[in-house]
Amino acid sequence: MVSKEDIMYIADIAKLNISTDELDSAIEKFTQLLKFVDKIKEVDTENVEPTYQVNDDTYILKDYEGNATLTREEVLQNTKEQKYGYFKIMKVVE
Amino acid sequence: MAYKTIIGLEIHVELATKHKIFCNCPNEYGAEANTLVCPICLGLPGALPVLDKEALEYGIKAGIAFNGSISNIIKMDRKNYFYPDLTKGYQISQAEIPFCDGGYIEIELEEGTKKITLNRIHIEEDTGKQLHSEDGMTLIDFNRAGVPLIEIVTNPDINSAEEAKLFLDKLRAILKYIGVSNVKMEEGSLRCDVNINVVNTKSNVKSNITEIKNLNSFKAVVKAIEFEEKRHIELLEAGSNTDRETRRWDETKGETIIMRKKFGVSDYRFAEDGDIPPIKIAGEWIEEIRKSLPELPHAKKERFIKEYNLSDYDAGVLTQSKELSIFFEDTLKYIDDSKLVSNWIMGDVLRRLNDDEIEIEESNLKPKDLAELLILIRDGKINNNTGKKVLKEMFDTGKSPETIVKEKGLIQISDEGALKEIIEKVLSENEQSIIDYKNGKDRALGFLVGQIMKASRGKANPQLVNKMLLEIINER
Ligand SMILES: [Zn+2]
Repeated sequence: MVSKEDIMYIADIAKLNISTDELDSAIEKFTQLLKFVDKIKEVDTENVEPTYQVNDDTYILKDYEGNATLTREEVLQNTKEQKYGYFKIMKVVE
Repeated sequence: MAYKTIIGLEIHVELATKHKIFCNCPNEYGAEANTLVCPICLGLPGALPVLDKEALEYGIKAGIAFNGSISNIIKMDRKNYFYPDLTKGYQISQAEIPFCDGGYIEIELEEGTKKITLNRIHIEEDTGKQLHSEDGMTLIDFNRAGVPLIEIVTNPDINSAEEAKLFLDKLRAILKYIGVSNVKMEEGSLRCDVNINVVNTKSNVKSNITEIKNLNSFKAVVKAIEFEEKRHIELLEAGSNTDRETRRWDETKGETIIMRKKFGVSDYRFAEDGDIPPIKIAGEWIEEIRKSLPELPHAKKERFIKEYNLSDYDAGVLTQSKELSIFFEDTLKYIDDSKLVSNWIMGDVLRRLNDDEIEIEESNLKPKDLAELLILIRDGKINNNTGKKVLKEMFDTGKSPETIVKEKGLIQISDEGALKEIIEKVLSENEQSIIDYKNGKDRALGFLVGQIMKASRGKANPQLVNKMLLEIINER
């Protein structure tokens, strides 16, 4: 059983808004999910190589000559606030 | 009470590749804000990161140079956390399998060589840069987002600030030798975090590990370690303990200040990056990279000792920087006297570089010019003291020694006739000194030599002056 505190902590670091009304159902769903993971863990994978993808495993590393950048206008076009070509935000205190 | 300090370092090194690690933005320092960004490094929806070959190659070079074992599979993971300088809400890094496992760097201590072992080296992307303004606002520049980084994590093998400094010096020298990074702390291409605690060697009581960030010079690393060492011991002595937390070095206050409680590893919810499938690395490619590595400081030092008959210490200093070692060998192409060249570099040349706080490659001095200067001295055209003055002028102006000697009329007077004239004149003005000398006051002779050198404006050949002066006085 997942605790209320666990859910609230995970919601906090994942920046999810979970209201008090949703809390009980979130606990329920999360608990189900973990049970499912436990079920998967029962499968014996002792001698099985992991599969990360189903394509063949030739991956081409990037090795280009040219550059590709956006203009600063393009970069900043969707931001609400900018200053001197920078994105401007409220200071985040750590 | 005896305490042992236990230190582990995490060093972030920006790789000096042409492009960023997952996109084709140029990897450059100092450009105007937000002019080196694209949909990939901005983390725009639908953008697909692709791993850069050169970045991986540079990383592997460093891994080999630090004696690590290179993984034959490259797997990238997402490190999830929220911060304004992180565009995607996760950093593409390596968790489960670093590209390089283990390794070590040797440092030279008085009691001998010490091996500092490495835990791992992984490759990842850098984040953007924040500027905090007075009015509580933050400005963000994403030019740095996606610059390739390697993170070198040591085991807790370091036991003092001094050892940490030696380790960082060595690490920087090797990275410079292999040319994978600019390793400039002031530009942020080399950044170091310190993990530290102390243990009471009698009771075995340990303080909790604290992490120190925001160290922007090797000096700051040393000072922060010394500060924390003391703080940890004092807390244990008082029956208390440190908190497991991240602290920041405040340069002006000269102390560490709490930033936050440490974020645990599981809090980052690492998961494989689905955009970048695991990549198998051909052993031949790793071999090719290994062969492309230049001679490393340690090997070069051993060679210098054998080939040029240098002392362990001199060879160590001359190979500390790649550029200095090249300068030394280039000078030897013009004058075949390793002892003389090493003496001058170890002495006046390094002193001047230290005074100016610059590296040899940033100075006006050229190997060929230094060799010419030493030939002038060796051949007796100028004396040692004049040589020092000429060297200073060479540093100041970049002119060749021949030019300086001609312009200033510094050629040593070795002509016996001319010297005799000067000596006679000085003697006639200092009759008392001759009497003093004859009465057994040896100091009078030194005074006379000084006067003669002065009268010749430093150009007299000192050996000749000594010899002739004695002859002339004894004849009187
Ligand atoms: Zn980009």
